Amino acid sequence: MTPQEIQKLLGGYATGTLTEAEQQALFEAALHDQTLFDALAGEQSLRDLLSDPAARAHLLSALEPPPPRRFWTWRPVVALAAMAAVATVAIVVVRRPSPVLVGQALPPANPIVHSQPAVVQEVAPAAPAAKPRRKSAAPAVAKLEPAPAPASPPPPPPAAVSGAVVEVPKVAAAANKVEEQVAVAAAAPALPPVVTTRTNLMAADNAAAPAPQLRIAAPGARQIFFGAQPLAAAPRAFGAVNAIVQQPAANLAVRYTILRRDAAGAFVEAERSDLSPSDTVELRFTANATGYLTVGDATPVSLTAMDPYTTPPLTAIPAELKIIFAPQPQRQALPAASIMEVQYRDTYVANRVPGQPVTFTIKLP
Amino acid sequence: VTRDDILGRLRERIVLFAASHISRDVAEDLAQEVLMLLHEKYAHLDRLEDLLPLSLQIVRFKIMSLRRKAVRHGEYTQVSVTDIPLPDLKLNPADAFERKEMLERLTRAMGQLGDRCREILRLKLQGKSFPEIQKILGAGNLNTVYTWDHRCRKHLLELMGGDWEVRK
Repeated sequence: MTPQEIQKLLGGYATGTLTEAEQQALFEAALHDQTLFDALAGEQSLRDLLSDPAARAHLLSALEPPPPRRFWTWRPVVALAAMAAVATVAIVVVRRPSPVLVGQALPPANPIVHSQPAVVQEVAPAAPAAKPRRKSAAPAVAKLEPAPAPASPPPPPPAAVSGAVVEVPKVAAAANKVEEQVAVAAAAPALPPVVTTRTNLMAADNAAAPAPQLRIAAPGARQIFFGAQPLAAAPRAFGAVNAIVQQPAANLAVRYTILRRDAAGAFVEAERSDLSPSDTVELRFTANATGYLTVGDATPVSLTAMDPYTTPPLTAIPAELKIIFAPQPQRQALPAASIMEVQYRDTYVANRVPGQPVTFTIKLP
Repeated sequence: VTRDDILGRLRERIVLFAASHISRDVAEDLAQEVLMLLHEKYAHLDRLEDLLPLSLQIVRFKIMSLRRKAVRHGEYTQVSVTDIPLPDLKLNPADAFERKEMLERLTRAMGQLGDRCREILRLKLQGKSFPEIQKILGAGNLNTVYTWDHRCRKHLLELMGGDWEVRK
């Protein structure tokens, strides 16, 4: 070894990694070379330090290359990222305003027909009107009142119908404002379905907000007879939306027509006002649902929905004829919230309470 | 080479080495004490591979002791040879502190080395010899490993300020 090569062995002295031959060469050279000896003496402190196993282990740990990151070390990061993604999707889905049906456009209500004296009446026994749920229903009644029309003559009084005559809007006075708006939507002809967001829905429910001055028309007995949902039976507030969409409970309604025997002996439709006590009449009933019809004191007869039934000729016309139409045979007339509507020679009587019997009295001359 | 020849050579080197750090008289006395210690306490050692590292270790401890005593008594106060105690080769708290300080400095300095130097130093600390390191690193020549190690040691020493220990 040349002296220059021996100098290079100094690095192995402190760490104690010199072979026997290297040590021999280095030390022999150091004995004769003061510079090398001094260098070796300078290395002694490092050699002493590295002779301590603890110090050597410490340095080794500092020199160890960092282990490659395996997949499992990334799993927490991946899990966090996945959770963040799921949370983001959930927030987007939850916060997206879902369309809520707050109204439904129904066929034109055709509420009151005045061509022929069309009178919507509440028939005795007058049942107590549905109690308004909200105090705000009182002003609603005022809105529902039909505007006085002095130009048009009042409809002729219902001669054959007894009981307090109450116009339909008054009957529907129990409806609250939200129901009014729903009904307005229903009464508006050819209106597309009203779809709004929850925010708008809440705004609609805000009683303090000025409601638009809209007039409503409650479905009449004829409308109920043909399947419309009366206001009194309409569910309240936002539940109305779902209830309309869902299948409503059936409201019983009956249509009857007076038939009078003419000179030829045939029974033809007749106006009530044209009847005289000597006439022989029949009554033709049609119910919107299957049930039992009780005419006066006669035995209840079964009616099929929309299948007309004509009573036997009434030679002795009674002054009053009590009519009951119920799902089950029923002889006793119970107070019912019935409404009546006359159109041409047909009279429609319906109960605003779903499933309740229709009870009314026909007065004949 | 006989043991006396080795000790004679060692004394000459120790005096010259110590004289570069302390006064000549103290250096000669220090060398004499080292030889006495080797003669009395380590009489069973006669190989150069044993005597030289041991003598260097004794010299280092004695010089450190002298420096601490000089600091305690004043700057480089002359100390009688009879007042110089025999060194205790076991660690005392001061030695432990210095060693800890040196270890920290060395750790920081090694962190600034290049990858190859770190790898060579790591293999050396693992007890690998230069021929083994040559095989591991795939060096074509053993002198290449010597050269690499020499440069790394020089760089490390520079990073530590030119001396392994902190001179006080």
